[in-house]
Amino acid sequence: MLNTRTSEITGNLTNLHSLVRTALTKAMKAFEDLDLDLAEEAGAVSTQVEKLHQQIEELVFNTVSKYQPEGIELRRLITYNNTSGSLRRVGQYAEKIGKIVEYCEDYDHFKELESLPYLADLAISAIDVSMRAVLDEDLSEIGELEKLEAQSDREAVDMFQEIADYLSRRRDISELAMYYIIIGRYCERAADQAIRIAESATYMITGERTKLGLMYHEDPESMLD
Amino acid sequence: MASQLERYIGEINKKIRELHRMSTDAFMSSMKAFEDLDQAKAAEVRDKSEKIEEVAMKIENSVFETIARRQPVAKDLRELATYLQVSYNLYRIGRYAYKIAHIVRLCEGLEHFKELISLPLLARLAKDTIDYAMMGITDRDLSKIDELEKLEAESDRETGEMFEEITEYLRQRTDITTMAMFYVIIGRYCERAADQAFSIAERAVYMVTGERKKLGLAYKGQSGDAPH
Repeated sequence: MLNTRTSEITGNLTNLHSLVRTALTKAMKAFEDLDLDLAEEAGAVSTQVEKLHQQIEELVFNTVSKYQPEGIELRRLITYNNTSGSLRRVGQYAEKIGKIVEYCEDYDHFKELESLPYLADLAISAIDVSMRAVLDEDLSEIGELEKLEAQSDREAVDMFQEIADYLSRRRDISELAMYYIIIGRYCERAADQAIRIAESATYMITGERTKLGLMYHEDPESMLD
Repeated sequence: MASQLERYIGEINKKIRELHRMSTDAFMSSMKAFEDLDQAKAAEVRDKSEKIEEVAMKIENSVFETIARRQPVAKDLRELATYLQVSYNLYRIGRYAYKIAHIVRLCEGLEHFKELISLPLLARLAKDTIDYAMMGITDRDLSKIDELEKLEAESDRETGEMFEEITEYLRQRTDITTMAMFYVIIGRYCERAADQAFSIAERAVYMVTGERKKLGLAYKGQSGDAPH
């Protein structure tokens, strides 16, 4: 039955969401503490993410092929596939943050890390909002995403400014500074995936392709995900 | 005589080729627009990016319609799944072009503080990487896959040097932070475009051989620079 297959896929998506949250949280904590063991754990979770994504993709294609759904039922399956792809990419960012921890073996942080954990929290909150939209088929919280995105943009710009100040004063921190910027961008990209998931949810429910995110409001201050 | 399924797949292959051309063209144009801080060219790129999205959506619809109507299995299903994924990768490259064009708009009133050498080079390396990966998809030709890691290493080196150079400028001048941030972000878009190419190449290997393989230096622990 199509419904049974759909339930199986949503169950897998729920698990994938949980794995991705864990991977990103662990990876950021590993970077904060420059903890190689924790980075390795984050990497292991990311591997699970990859496998589960492949399972979901196969389930979606087999379901479409077997039951030939139309309308909302087909859109639902397309959305599940896209959502799984977005979650997988967040898992990949977590894996890459873990790799950066390995490269930082001989470094110490040159400043207290505040912005990066905050950016990771914002990304996780944005993904939570989007996943509720997909799984509950409820778009009522979508407006929250742009607030989270605006907070994330402000924080990223402030962080860059702060790092630029440090760079003007110290010559020995350029590599670590680059890692801060790259990890900040991974968090922004994770939040960007939340927007993609929300766009898919909107398509699933309304049948229309809608653009979400600050960039589409022509806000000149909007940053660049 | 080709079966109906083969004809559908052939049509999607054609659309993928078109999307490849559109995405790389928009990407390179966006870099040129940034190099010259050319607002008119940037506006053209934003329009092109919208068209890229339309084509990507058409491919998504065609893939799911073909699966639902023709119920392909094994190799054919793998090919269709690959086209869907690659269409998304190319769409993302079109989005980077859009974002670079968006940065050009944010640069109104600003000037470059150095001659742009690294960024156009990074864009060129990204384009070559995409082109090599796409040979695997459109022609099932995996002969250039080994070249990808050389391009990646070159790109890593150039990014590292560019960041060092920007850092040096930031030490000397306090009025260039915004433009310096744009340089770093655009450099990252180039790396991300190359990253999409690796994802395309992995799908090409999967489509042609049926095996899932991770490509790229980061996966071999050889990269001396940041993960892309």
